[in-house]
Amino acid sequence: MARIQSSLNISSADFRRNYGANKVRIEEFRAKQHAARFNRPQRDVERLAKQGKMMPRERLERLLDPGTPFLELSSLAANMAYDGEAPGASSITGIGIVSGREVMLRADDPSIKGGAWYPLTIKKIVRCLDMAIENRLPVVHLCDSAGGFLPLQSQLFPDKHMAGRIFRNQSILSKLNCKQLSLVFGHCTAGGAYIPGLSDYSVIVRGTGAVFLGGPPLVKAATGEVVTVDELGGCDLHTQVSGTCDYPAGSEAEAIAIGREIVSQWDRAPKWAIQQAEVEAPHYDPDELYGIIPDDIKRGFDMREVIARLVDGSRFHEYQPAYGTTLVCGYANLWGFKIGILANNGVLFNDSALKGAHFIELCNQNQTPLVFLQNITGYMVGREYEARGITKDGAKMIMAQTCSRVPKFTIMCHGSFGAGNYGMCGRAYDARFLFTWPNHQIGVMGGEQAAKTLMEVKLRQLERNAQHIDQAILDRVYHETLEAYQEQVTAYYSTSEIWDDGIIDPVDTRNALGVAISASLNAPLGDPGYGVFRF
Amino acid sequence: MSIELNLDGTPRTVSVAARKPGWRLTVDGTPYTVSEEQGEDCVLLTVGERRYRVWRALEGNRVHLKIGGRTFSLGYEEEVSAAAHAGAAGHEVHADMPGVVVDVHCGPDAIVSAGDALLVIESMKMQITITAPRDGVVAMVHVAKNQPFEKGNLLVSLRDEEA
Repeated sequence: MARIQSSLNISSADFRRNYGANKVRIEEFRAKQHAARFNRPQRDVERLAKQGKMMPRERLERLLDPGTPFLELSSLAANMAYDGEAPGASSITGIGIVSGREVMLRADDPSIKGGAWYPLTIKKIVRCLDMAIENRLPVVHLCDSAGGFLPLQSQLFPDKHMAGRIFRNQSILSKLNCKQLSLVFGHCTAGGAYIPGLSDYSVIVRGTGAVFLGGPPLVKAATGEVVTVDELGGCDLHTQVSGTCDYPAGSEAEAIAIGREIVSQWDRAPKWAIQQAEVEAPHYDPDELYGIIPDDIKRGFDMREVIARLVDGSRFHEYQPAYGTTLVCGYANLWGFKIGILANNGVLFNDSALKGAHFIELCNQNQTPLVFLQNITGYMVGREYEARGITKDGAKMIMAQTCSRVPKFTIMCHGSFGAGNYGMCGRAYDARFLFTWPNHQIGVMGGEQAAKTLMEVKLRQLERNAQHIDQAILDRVYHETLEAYQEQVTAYYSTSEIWDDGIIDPVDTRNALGVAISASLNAPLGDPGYGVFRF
Repeated sequence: MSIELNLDGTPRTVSVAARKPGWRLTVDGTPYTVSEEQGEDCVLLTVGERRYRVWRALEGNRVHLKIGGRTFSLGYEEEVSAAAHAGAAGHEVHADMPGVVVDVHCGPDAIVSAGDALLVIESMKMQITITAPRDGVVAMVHVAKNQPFEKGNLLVSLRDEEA
């Protein structure tokens, strides 16, 4: 396969400006991520130490095989919610290696409000279990939670994808033969009790671990019974009497050691046989990505330069290189895995949409996973393009993409605006993994366009009602819209709301995709077939 | 697949096929049996009846060889080249999409290399840098800053640099 010939000039003013700006961005991202992971009130750190508990990341580190990669998901979830009170949405999720098995890990974070579940905690847990289902991964739960955060219960309990979905997903996982292990370090109260209850294996730590539907205060209020935590749902009750938990442990370290031994008993389901080649590092240095990503969301760039810094040997077999050139399509290998890439090099026209749909069909036929690299302002608008059927051509691309049987992966490299987000496998389209770069912006349209549109709507409304047209009102509509937009289009807002599986440093994209593709191969390919294409 | 090897100015057609325990090498239609084994500090290569001591080092797409006192540096050129993708670049730069000129980076008689920025345009809220498709001299810039244009309009024309 031919190597991409980079035409990047690393001594140009453009490159240097972008590089500087992106380095600052990455430092800001790293600082936020470090704070979300490690900044905790001293009081909570001391409380855990006094209980003989490890911090949640210490538990994970002990559980994971040394020297193996851990792909953390949604590390900045909830960073813009709850006044920043729930860093990481009070939980840690990710894919790692335990006793040689690829597993999904899910840990409560008792150093934040006793590990209480906020609405976004629930969303993060449900998403990680969805990913376990989609990729057929076993799950290890590290349980230590006070239960749902009661002041926000209406946002975390009743709806389809709220708390109940956790236990629904656990049941489905079990039906799919994905093993689950719960390590009970702290309390599993109310719904949380079903996590070990629905796991195939559970280990509970004597003295600190407890599982019950209602804790002592609730029991007292309900029936007047006065009972201690240990009597109600402690280690010995559940491992000797009720049979709710399987293995008693004298300490957290022992629980983790037993857990590793349990996982080492698990069979490894065969992965489907993707085409593989020998791994080759990219020929071009991924560090140069910082000089490629523009400092301005409106600036385009050649996505081939990005591909050249992601894939094995920077080698790329470009499909239809001269047709529909605003969508770059082609085959490459990443960590040896054969992939098909669709990358935006401008707005989508009729020909680029058709090329994309056709290439997706080729990848489905060829059993080649799809990687979408988004930098898209939408499908082309205007009379000429409507007359040529831009809407139905975009619909074809969405149909082919949605009905794909191969796993899909999406990287938000820069802008993601309008319907282009749909065609390019945005969040709604079941990408197995979707990662975001810190410079990313997302919205139904750009901020300025939205503000202008709403200002014009207001203007027509005033005209219709024959009201006095007050420029001050129009200006207010414009500025309020723009302000709200400017916050909500950012990558940090997006990842706070878990519209992605986490922000990543662009240079880590290759490794993140490598882990993701490897994990995806555990699930069999979907059924072939599409709906009706409008020709 | 056979490859064209240029050795001391003589082009030769070479192909290699696996024949355990080594390979069958064909040079301009003549076949040779080749096998190799690891020597102490070099590779021992057997071609037909003859044996050679070979030192070799790989460097990206190049391999450096030392055989019988001579050194060779062989480069591998991809069969599929980037030039084939773009087609032969012409003298005229047309608009791929309707838009507005945001910035003009070149003027008449400017000497440009392939990849140099000629214009920045904006279309569908995205700014795109239009670059020179080939080395040459700017003959004429057909648009001005802030000027709108339609798909297919001629933006810049180039001419060959005079020797």
